[in-house]
Amino acid sequence: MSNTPAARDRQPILSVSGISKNFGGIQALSDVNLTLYDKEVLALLGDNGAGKSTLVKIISGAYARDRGEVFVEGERVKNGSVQDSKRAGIKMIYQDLALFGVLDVTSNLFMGEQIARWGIINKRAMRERAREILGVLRTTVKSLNQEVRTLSGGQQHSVAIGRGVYVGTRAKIIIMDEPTAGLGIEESAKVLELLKEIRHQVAVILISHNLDHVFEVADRAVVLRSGAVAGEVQIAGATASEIPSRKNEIVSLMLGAV
Amino acid sequence: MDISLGGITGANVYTRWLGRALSWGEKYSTFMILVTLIVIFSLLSPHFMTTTNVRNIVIRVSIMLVVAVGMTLVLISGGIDLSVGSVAVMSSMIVGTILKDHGISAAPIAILAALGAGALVGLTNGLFIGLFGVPPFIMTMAMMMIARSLAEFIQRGVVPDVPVEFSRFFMTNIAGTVPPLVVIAAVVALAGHLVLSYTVFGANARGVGANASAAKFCAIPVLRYRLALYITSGMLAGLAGIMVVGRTNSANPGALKNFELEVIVGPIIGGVSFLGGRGTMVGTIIGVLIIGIIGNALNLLGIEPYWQMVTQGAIILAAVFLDYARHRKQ
Repeated sequence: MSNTPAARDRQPILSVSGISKNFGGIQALSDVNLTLYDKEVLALLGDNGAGKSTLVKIISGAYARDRGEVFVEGERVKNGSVQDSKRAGIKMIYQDLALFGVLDVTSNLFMGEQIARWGIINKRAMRERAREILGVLRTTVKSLNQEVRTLSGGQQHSVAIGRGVYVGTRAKIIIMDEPTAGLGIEESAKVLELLKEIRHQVAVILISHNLDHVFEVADRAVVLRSGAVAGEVQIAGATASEIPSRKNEIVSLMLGAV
Repeated sequence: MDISLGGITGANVYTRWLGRALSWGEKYSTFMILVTLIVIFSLLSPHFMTTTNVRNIVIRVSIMLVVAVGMTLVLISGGIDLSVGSVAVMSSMIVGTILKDHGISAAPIAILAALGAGALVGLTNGLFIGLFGVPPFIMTMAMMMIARSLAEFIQRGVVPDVPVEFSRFFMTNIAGTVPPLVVIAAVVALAGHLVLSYTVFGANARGVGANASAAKFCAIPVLRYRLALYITSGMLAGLAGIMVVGRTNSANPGALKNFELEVIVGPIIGGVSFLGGRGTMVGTIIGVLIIGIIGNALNLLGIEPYWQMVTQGAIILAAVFLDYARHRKQ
């Protein structure tokens, strides 16, 4: 359970309890508990192979869990079903963004979730909504008919995030897997800006290796080591002088040197 | 994933106009090629623009178009269907044999059997490709051989004596202008266009072709789409086989050589990509017309068969190059 002062009395939006996962004899996760509150950004940290990706894939339904449960606002989420996780409001933004490079911006935003009646799509409504979504994310594109592969990295992130947060079933929890990996400084800044924008709407689980980015946007950090929760560090409210020691604390938890 | 940096900002009026002219040129380039070919062939041969010849072209193109509509959907979803020519032949042998043995009253059964056989081949293709991950090229090539053999198994040689009522139905002009054969193709093409451009099914099929794994993340049932699309392609090939019997009043297990290539190259010329995701039905119609017109003109001009083959090979190369150039452009 969280010891965040602000969060203590709140109802969690997501609670994960006792998750275990085995891959052919290798224990990837053992008895992981996690709580996420509404409109909170939770950083999920850990060294390579600590189990971060496995955990978020279980939460998003891409993997089935061996043991444990996932609840969204107290309702149990079906085991290993992307559809059910989506219905519950859990949406994942993949590291490669899972965009459709040769298709235009509107098609990408609404893929699988077109505005339609009796199977006939309403292109006009989709374009209007696409403009709104890009407006909220303060993103400009030359044209909505542009192929997404011709957009900049930041613009592509806007499309992926816009699709996750604003299209289809209402998103409650957004999972972002290494959203700034491989991006330049300017593009990373744009992605962090997008993240600050969407946190007014949803709770976010952020996987990242960049502690500077984590301290810029996250409220809390949970550290995984060898498939188990190694500890939790409060980030929101840390003063400038406290930040270095908290970063050290995180690194120690990651490496197991406590 | 390609990531390019920044868009062009501050483009002046001239470059903007140039850009517009270029994109207009690209959008209508295949249509311009079609018009140019019609003008050139009209000048080269006095027989080209005659009523009889135009009717021949339209009928031939109609049969190709029916199959090309299915092919377009399959290509856009990232697949390919090489079995369509053989399926059409198999279907024509089924129809021809049933009609010869049981008379014209068996026509509905013959038609259903031919469509069903096409659907069955499509289902097999879709299952192996979608479920077992066999590459579409390999799978449908195997089906191409199997279906051709089945066609010959049904009847060794030509079935010449199909009841004449059957072809009279398909070939008698409606209101003195177009035969039902052409109307069927027009209806299929229109339906294909509407499905591709205005339905959730069409949009999702495009998504499957553009990025199949991303489509799965978007909760699109990719396997079901593959099955539906290959079944559609198979059934439309079956329909083409029925139309062939309607046109020639006979069925021939050796017919439609290279037919699968023509109905692939047509859409590709029209802007459908081998790599999936891109293309329109209007482009396919223009592409198939170009292929049909060239084939007809080469015959009309008395070009020797081996030169015709060379020409067809060159067109395939040009189509593939065009697809590559379009894709590389940005």
